[in-house]
Amino acid sequence: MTMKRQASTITRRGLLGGGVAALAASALYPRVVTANNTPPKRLIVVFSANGTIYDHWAPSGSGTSFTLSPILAPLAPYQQKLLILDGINVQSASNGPGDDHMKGMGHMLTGIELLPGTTQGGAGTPAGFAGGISIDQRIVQDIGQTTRFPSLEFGVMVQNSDVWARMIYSGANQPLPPMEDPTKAFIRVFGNSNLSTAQAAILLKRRQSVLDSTQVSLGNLAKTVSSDDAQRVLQHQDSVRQIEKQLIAQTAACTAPTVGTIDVNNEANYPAVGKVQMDMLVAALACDQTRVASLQWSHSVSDIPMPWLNIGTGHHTLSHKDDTDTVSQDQLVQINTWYAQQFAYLLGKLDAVTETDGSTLLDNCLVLWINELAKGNIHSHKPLPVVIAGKCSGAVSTGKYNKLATSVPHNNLLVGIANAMDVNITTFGNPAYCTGAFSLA
Amino acid sequence: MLLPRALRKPRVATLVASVALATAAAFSSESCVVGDLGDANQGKAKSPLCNGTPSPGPSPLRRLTQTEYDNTVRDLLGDTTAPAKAFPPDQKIGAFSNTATALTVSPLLAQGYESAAESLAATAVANMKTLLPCNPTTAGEDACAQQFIATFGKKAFRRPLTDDEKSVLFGLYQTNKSGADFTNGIQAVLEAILQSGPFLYRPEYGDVTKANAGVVPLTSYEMASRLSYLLWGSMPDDELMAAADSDQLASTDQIAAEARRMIQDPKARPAIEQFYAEWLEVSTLDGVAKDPKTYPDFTPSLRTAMQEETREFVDWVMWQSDARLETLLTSPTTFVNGELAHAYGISGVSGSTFQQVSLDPTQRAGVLTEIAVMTALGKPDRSSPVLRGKFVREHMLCQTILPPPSNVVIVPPAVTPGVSTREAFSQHSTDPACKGCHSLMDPIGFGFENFDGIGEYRTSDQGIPVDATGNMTSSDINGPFNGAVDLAQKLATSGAASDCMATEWFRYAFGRGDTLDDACSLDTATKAFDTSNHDMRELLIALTQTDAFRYRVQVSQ
Repeated sequence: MTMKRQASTITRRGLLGGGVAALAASALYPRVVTANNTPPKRLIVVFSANGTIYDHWAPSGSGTSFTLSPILAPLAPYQQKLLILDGINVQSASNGPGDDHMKGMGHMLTGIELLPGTTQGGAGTPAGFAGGISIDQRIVQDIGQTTRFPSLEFGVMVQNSDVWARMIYSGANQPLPPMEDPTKAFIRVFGNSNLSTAQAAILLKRRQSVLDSTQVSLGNLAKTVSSDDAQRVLQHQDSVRQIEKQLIAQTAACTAPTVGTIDVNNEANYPAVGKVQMDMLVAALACDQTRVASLQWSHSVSDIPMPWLNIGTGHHTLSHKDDTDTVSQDQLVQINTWYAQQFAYLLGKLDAVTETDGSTLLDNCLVLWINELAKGNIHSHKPLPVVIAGKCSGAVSTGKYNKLATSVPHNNLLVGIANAMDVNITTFGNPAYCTGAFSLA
Repeated sequence: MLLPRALRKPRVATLVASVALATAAAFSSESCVVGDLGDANQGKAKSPLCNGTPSPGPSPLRRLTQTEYDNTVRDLLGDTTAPAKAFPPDQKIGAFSNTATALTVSPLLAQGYESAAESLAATAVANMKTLLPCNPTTAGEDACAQQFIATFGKKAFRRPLTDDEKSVLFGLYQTNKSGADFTNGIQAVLEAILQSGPFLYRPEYGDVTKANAGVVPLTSYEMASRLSYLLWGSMPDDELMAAADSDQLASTDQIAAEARRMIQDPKARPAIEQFYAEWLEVSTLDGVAKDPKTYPDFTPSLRTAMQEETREFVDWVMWQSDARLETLLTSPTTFVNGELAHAYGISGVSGSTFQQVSLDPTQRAGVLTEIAVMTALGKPDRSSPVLRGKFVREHMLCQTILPPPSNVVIVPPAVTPGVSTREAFSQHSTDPACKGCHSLMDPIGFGFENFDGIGEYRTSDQGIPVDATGNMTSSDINGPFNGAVDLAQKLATSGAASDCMATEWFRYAFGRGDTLDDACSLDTATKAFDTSNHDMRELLIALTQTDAFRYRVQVSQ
């Protein structure tokens, strides 16, 4: 897929093609505010695969006095906006079906066992998809109703569509696939049409009435099939309800990013696709098209080689190499450092957007960088390499390296993230692995 | 030991329990495999599995897959733009992308349905004369719209519409005609139909007037769709719909007659090729990357060419040769373009056109040694005896290799100059934590060592002469073998392999795993497959004769 798309100002006319009814033309980022006139909180989840190399990941020092490790060194410009957590344990992943990559991926944001199923991994019993909603989607239930998209999922060459490749779930067995093609993502989020106002009105009316009839048709189907089948049809109805909401007018206006010419089937473009997906993610937040977003690099067990780092062996293959294999260890450090550079790019873009109160978009974000594993060659799930960036409007206390004395179940962290986002829950996922909120304050 | 077919454990239904057992036991080779072991001929006891009472197994609601969606809009609207290519990929469980319970509809897919419906409808109404069954000027716009809803709706829903469905769609037409025009009204109807439940799904209720002990025969309309989606991956044609209109798809003979006609239609080819591409894991090549330093030949165009080769070969076996499993597994015939010929080491073929060639029969035999299959079952920078051995066990013999316990540290050996892959993986045969299960995979996989990570033939690996001797155990073709050609010849004589072909087709045909309730259906299919000398077209016909195909459990809510 190659397509040239220039930066453009989003206007009422432009966005209608993508499904939005009314926007005022402006070349500026919008003044996005909540009812009480403060910038809203936003959540971003970033995933990269196959664990890290702890000794090169963990900062030295502790608390507010710490020095970033080689892997995290690219984040130095934002050190005061980071909360690095060392000691989070994906305790749930010791349980339930699936191999350790599947469990890591499926538990990471859900905190609950995978469903039994027929996908056989490299170890463990065969599994289905995740057994519950992911934390971002739980947060969406509370804060996702006011924006055009409840959430936006971006992917970078995720390619697969199995349990190893899905981390966001709207419920048990309901994985949400990411948008992998930047051109299509652009059209979805920023529109692609030049209609007159009258034509736009006719289109809007037709879309609304067609989706109404779609709901009637799916409703009738759900009523007449078995209860198992009805679950899937009801989920389909929920999905249609979401696109109906995207027809609702928004008042913000902003500048769309530039999407250049990219072949998404060529692995050499992995960095380029990632960059443009991050540009769009930031613009979507800045334009208040959504307040919850995610960026998934490849998939768990990613075996992508990185020829731009002169690394020809696949990432997953390398991650299995023994600790004593210094060449492979060095390459894994390089790979993880490269992901940190990409994370730094994202933080930089977020920090460059100024909000109504003079703070930056990053200051009002909670950006979670997470992995399905801790250490690749032993498939461990603790300590999970967790980096949080952004103060989340003051709810997260940053500039800290929190080296936990005793490990904390990751379900607690998920509760803490929800609380920081003003979602008042006290437990999440399987309560058996949750002992309360891990406060980020 | 091999159980009579009736008593063998269906893989899906019993795997969890078996894994638990195996984990408790030591990892000897017998304890880490599930499935048929031993001489398949012992199992041909033909016990009375079919007792006269239909036993259809589960019938989960099927959603159109991406491919089925594209084929259906092609046959419904003549639109060949393949709009489903823009959808997020179908969720995959196991090797096949058509598992019913995995095919949910996310908001992104719902959005894809909307965009596709809008673009298809816009194209269709641009040529109103072809689309409409009537002239709105002479017949009257509203009357013509009603006629359109009934006739087009029936094709799209693959059955006549109910009065309620007609009135909802006519109301939608009126709403959108008002304030705009007739075209906008028709456009809305089209968009709605293309996003509706009966179009996107294949609901089946059966003929409830013929219910017997909770089991119902499918109606003729439902049967028409089952046949067309199995054999064409698309909607029924006019002839099939006419047979359904007159309820002529009830008896096994009527169904077989239609199936025989359909399998000769060109539409059967891509549908059947897709099964083989997924079964052989060639469909996964889209996402495969190789190390450009180790494999500079592996370009995107070579990747596309190798996938095309599999399609052309399957096509040739099924429709130009004898359709036998043995031919699929052993024929040296294949199809190459210039780039692929270079990879195979064949001279005299250039350019992008594919042509039939005969490969060196001492090096290559059938699908197993195809470059595409060997590439899919290879690592980015080396071959993979483990993946290849596992593939033979699982896809060719329908055994499941149970995994190592998750606390085992898995360290694949590094690619080391001067150390062959075979040597590097020999640790598996000495390390007690590995050797139990790996003794089931590696000795088979070593037989493929003449093929590197992109399937090119080699006689040395890291400077060491290739040793492609292998050993097969726990099967009906036990014993040593020398290279993949020898293994392919042995598999061609294996009853377990032919039974497995029938089982894999069954799973794909029904979009689900096989269950204990499917014993009669599987027996019907495998017997017919045996009787036909393993003609895979006959296997497909036989699948349409099974209880699983003709009946369903009555819907209860």
